[in-house]
Amino acid sequence: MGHRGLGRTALLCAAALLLTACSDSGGDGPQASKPPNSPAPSGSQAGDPPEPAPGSTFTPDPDRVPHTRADALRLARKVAASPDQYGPGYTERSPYESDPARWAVLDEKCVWQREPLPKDVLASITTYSELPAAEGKGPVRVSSVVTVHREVDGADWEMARTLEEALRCPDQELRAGERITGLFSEGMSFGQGTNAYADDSISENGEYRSDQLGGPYPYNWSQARIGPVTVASVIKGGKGRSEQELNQAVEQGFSSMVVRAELELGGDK
Amino acid sequence: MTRAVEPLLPSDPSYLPGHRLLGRLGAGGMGVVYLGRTESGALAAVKVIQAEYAREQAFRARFRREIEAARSVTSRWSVPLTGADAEAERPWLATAFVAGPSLAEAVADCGPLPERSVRALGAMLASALTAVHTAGLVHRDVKPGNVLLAVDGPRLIDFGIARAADGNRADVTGHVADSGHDADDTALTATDLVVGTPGFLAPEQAQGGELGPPADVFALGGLLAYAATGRPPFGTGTPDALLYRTVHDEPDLDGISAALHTLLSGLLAKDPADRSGLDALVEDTPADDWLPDAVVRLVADRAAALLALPDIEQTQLDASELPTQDAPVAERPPNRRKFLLISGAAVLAAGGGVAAWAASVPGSGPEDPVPEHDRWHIGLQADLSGPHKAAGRAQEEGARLAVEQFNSRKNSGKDSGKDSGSGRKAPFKVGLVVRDDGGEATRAARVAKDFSLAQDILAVIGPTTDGTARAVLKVYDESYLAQVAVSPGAMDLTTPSLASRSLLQARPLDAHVAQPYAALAAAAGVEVLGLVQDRTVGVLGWETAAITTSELRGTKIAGYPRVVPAHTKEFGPVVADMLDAGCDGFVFAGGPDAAAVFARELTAAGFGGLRLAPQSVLDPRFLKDAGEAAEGWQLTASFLDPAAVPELEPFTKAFTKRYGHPPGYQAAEAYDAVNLIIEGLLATGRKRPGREALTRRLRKSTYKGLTKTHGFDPEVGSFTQWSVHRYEVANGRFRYVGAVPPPSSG
Repeated sequence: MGHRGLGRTALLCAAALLLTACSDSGGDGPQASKPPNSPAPSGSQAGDPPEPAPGSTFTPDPDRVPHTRADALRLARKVAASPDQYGPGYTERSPYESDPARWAVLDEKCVWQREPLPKDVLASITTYSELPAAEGKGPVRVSSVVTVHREVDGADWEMARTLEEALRCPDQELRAGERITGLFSEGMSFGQGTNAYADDSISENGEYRSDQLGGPYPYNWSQARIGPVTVASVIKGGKGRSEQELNQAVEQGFSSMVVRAELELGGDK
Repeated sequence: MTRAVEPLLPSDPSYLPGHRLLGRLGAGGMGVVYLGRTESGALAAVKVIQAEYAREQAFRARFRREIEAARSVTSRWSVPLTGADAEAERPWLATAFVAGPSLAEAVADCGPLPERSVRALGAMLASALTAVHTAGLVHRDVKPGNVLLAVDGPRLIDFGIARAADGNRADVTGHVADSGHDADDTALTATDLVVGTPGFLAPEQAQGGELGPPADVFALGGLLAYAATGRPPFGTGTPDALLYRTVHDEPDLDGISAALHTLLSGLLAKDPADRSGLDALVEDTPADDWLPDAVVRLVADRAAALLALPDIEQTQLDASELPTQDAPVAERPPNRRKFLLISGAAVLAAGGGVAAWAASVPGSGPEDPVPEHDRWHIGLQADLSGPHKAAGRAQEEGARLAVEQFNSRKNSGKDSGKDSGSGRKAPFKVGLVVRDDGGEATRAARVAKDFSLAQDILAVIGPTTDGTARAVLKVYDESYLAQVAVSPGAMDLTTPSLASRSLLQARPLDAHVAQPYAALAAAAGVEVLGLVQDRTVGVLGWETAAITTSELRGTKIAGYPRVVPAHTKEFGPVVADMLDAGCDGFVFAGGPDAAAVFARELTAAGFGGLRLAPQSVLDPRFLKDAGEAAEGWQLTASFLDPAAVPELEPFTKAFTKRYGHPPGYQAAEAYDAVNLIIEGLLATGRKRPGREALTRRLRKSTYKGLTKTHGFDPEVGSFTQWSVHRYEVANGRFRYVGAVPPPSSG
């Protein structure tokens, strides 16, 4: 055993990176950045039935849950965070919105591809914004992803797949010339850890490198499920941008999407 | 008949000065008796009179007298007043609460007391009555219903009709009318109907003559006769008949020894002038075991049943009053019940906490008295009734055994299991205070608050699950109360940004438990290791998946991870996908139920190769639900099976002797946790350590226990040693394979 030779301390630290920055890791583990939302991790113990969620979970108003592609797309566009919701100075990139008939899929080689929506997905859009480069600082790029599923079950499996992708491909190619490495992702159901806001949540962290912009910069993917809808904010740091300002941007943009999704679905939370 | 505490009604007060009310003990025509708690944390019986009675001046005067009487009597064998207000709109009076049965109930349930008990009872009650008389009072209502039994001795209650001794006329009428059901009785006893008060009245009292201390002596004689024979000394019948017989007939003392006959006859002399004095009942220091086992069991039952109530659980507790378990007795398996009853473990006695505790622990009998300040308490919070009760109860049993062995340690140092420093005589005794949190986060936090507020508790073991551990993290952090967690293995509990100052995670992380999988896969020649992370088990699933994929990197084995939503019921498509992907080995990181479904799918697909799972699957449910498909599965865990480890034979033997069954998983680990704490306490010598000092010392300590060496990161309390064990399923059982050696470093 010990084929890889990770000492216990290093192992612990490597795993702890999933949860938080391992500031004194001494270089053995991947250098993950602190999650922008710094969520408290959670989960239940071995064999636990899931911990009972405090309070009630979100129950959408059945009349407001979209059943057609057109309604779903309308909802997705309302929910997706606009540039100003990430903070002052954020602007639309061009193109601003992705093709709503396709969504991103991580292929076998850990490269993201855009593929047609499966039939149990009603709509999925991604909008692109950025805080432009200024005063010697690089740009900060953010994406807002909203996906409307036909059923809650489909959204549940999308969340599981997000977690699976980081396990399968800790290094991923976003597009030609853009890579993320050392990805760790962590899921929390409602009532676990700090997730008191959505049916399910995921925080994924890694490092971003770009042929054009350099790096590594912090990378974070924050995702939540509200009924049959998933929302995600993706942020890629830039030269000279502090972790704190990245955190703030994600917190604002991401939480605005969660709130709007709940409003649009008209639940009784 | 068990007295129960009913919840407060909306119309009930929740506070009276200095007292918080917890529930109703009983209600009568004149008022209600509540169970309350004083500001210092002691339980109290609080009698509140209805306003309509309080409007009668005569009644209020009588109530005032009762308060004065109770206040002026100070005896170890009477109940002290904890507060009163005769002038309130609804007058009230509170006395220390005794959970035990009355003498009337004890004799009705268990039969007459042995002579030894009768003599001890007589001596202690004589002492109490001497205090009453010294205060210039006559109790006037000494009867079996007004004597409550605790393990350390009786308590004389109800001064409701006590009067100044000088020249009061007897007041027969009011008395006989509500015999046995005095509405102004503190109503702590409700079953003294069998023995009506008239059967214990002195002849002079029955005849309306002068009433002085000898009347109480006569009544005490009648009470002791009842205790010795099980029969009222003047028989049963109408009050008139009883009064007649009291004056004219000889008491029924058949069947008692000559010596006791002589003693009681002297107390029961018709003429007060001929009657013996209280000094006839020589006061010798009564033994802790003054009561027969059957009555001790009744006392324990009473306390346990009473204190099982959630209403009480929510409140601040003083360790000296806590029962040693608080799950409802009826729900316990026979062995636990047997133990509880035999040891008298759950005993609550107002003002008698010391002896009550002493009675609960072997080796602290009369020859080995333990002063209160020398009994140091460890709290244990566990899931004793919820989904993880098997682990919780095993931990309780292991912890209790460790405490008992420590307390019975003599100079000879003969111990049945390994323990720390055997041969040394301990400078203190340890009390174990057990609370059930049901595996629920909110309840767990409440228990943690109670333990934190109980200054007697020096360290805590538990809780049982990651979820409850998370719920108590902050509470123990704030109180700096050392918290030794035996089973929670989630990494976030000790991750620096969230860590508590108080937690000691006494086991390797779930990630470490899964660390051997890559090597096991390599040894089995696996090429593609399939890995299922079931989100039902939260962090455990994630740690297992993350560490395994991380360990596989750089090896020739490919990982094929799948994550499934919580409560996935169908694993057919997942299994098919994984087999399609070429998986020839599997790790299932989920709960036992889902693992069973997964196992069946694999078997149905014809797969019989390497199948691994963490300790979440080491559950009888997996064996039951998976059936044949469970065969050959390999599991890793942070705990060992003591019965399968030869070096632990003395422990297993002692445990089996103690409980009648072999140790369950995590019993030995909890046994170690207690000894780890005791080591820390011993390091302070006779001086009781402060919580912060103890916590810091424990985190810096290295303790070699039965199951493993314990060591901790002093900053975050994480476990720094290695202890991972392997099991396999064979012939429908989990078979312990052995310890997994630590991975080589570097």
